[in-house]
Amino acid sequence: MYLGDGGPFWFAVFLLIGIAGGLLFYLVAFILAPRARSAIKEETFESGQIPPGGKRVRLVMQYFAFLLLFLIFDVVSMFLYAWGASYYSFAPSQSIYAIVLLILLLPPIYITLKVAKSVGV
Amino acid sequence: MQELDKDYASSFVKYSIVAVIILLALVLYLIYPYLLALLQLLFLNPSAILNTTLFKLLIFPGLIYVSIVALIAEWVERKLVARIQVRVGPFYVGGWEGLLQPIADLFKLITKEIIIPKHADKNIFILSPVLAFIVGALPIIVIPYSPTYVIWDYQFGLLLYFAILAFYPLVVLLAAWSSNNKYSFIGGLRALYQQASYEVPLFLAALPAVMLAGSFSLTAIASAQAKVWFILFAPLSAIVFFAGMMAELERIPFDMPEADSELVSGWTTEYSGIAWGLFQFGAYVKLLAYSGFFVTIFLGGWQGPAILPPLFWSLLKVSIVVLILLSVRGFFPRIRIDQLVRAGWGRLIPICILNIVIIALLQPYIVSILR
Amino acid sequence: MDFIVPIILIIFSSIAAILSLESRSLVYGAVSLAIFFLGLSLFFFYLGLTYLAIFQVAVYVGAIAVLIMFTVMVVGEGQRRKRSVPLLAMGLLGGAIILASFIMGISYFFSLPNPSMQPSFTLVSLARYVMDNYGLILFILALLLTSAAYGAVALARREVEETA
Repeated sequence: MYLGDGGPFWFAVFLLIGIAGGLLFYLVAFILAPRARSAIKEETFESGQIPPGGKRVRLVMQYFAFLLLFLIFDVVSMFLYAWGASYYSFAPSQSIYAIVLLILLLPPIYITLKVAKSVGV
Repeated sequence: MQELDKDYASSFVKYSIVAVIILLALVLYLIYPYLLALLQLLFLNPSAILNTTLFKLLIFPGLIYVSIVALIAEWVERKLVARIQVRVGPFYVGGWEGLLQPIADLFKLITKEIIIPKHADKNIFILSPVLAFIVGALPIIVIPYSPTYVIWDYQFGLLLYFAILAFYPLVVLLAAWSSNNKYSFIGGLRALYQQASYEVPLFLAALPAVMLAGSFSLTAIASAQAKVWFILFAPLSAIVFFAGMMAELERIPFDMPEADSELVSGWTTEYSGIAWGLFQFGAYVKLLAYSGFFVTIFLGGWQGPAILPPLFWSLLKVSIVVLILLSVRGFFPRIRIDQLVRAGWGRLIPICILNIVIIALLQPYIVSILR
Repeated sequence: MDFIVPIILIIFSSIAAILSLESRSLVYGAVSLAIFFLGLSLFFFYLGLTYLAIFQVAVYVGAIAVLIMFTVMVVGEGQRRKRSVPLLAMGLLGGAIILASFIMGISYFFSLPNPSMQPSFTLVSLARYVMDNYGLILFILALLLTSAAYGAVALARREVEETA
């Protein structure tokens, strides 16, 4: 196989061993464990009573804005890592754009937190 | 009584036996020459085995070492937290102080019935623990315990580490949704918010290590700390990384998704038997991977006085970090979700950015110290 | 035979992409979209663009696939659209044309006298070059991204005020 002798080869081997190991755990469990199915056992767990609905949408969408913020920070950190890897070749005055960018990353966070607090999440 | 769903277990057993046989055959085919070389070395020159990649992959610092340390860590955690809480902990199983308790737990979990909830998405439900275990176990490939004891000295090791750990929110989401339980799903979403909120501080906290070493390779980062450990240049980042590590591992005080005095088991409620066991095992393997990572990028990896071998120093440091992580469980209460999100975004990220800006501005002085 | 690996990767990614559109359950579609991103990232690994490949995984699979899956799981499955054979035939034809053009492009690349798989720059030199010449543009791009964050928060705020 093309993977060669280096790292990716062992990565692939490790991955395959991991998948096989996980499935092997399951196989041993399916062999050793009893299997007595009944309808009541397979009902999902709801602590007995089903409470009335209502606040569920709020619970689900509570911090969705932070997922979007996470996406953006993930992308920005790509640029920052490229800058960081070449840190030794920049003098501080040359990386002024990166420093100002870092500082300007903070206001969106605070605005989002303030909106979240005012909404009440 | 309602109708039962179709029996998924029997078809799963058939498919997975075939899959395991195919996978193991593929693995054997791939590593066959290395296995032969290892066996030859066994008879000719036993001490050279320690240098072969196959040994490193399988035994140390690979699979068997990680599995044994995960079991030991589980025992240590229960004993340590018990002593902190003025009780005894595991006591009966095994000769001394319940040492074989984790193995007894493993046997118990294997022999428990696996109940698949009604109308759950069966394929994803069965396979997500395996996925969680793999995502937790893969990063140990790049972590160096000494200049020679690293399975894959990858040029972009740090980034590979983060790329693998970026899969975990996906796994949590799949596991929570496939249980077909509204409350598990909501718990899983809150776990997702927690993970997403603390991944950005982790990314930014690992940036000073890359800046100071000038490379993404973990062995290069550890080698660059020969004179001074990076924690002295980036103490704030180390603290932030430690907190983010606890949040990603869902350990107390970031226990909110699990909250086992309130929500039974959070997003893993519907998983019984070995499925839940795989989640926990994966969590302990992830703990070891994260601790090794923390030691490598902040505490100098294997650097230490030359009286003792480097391997000893790295194992000592990893043990200390793991012990601190385990013992924190006994000391702190749980954080609410709004406190959690506010802390992750509003407090940890500015601290990281402060540290990065300080390191960027003090670059000439750092160059003269480190190089 | 040198180009067996990119062809395998392209076929794998195409199958994942087709599955993500045609699968019976939306969540399976989102999962195979994540697998498609993974296949694309393996393709970047093969081309030697390691940094890009790793961030493809971290950003696309770690954030975008999670967002898509989140939306699908929360909103729920919609109505199934009716299958139409002419559309399916056109789609298959278009996919076959794209696949053929990829294969032709790769075999052309390998038929060149000296195909080199390693890019002629390193990450450090690239960062240096970009920061020196295009630093301001990079900065403005990042500002655009953060303004997207502002926009997302503003949208969420308006939605919340409407439902409150």
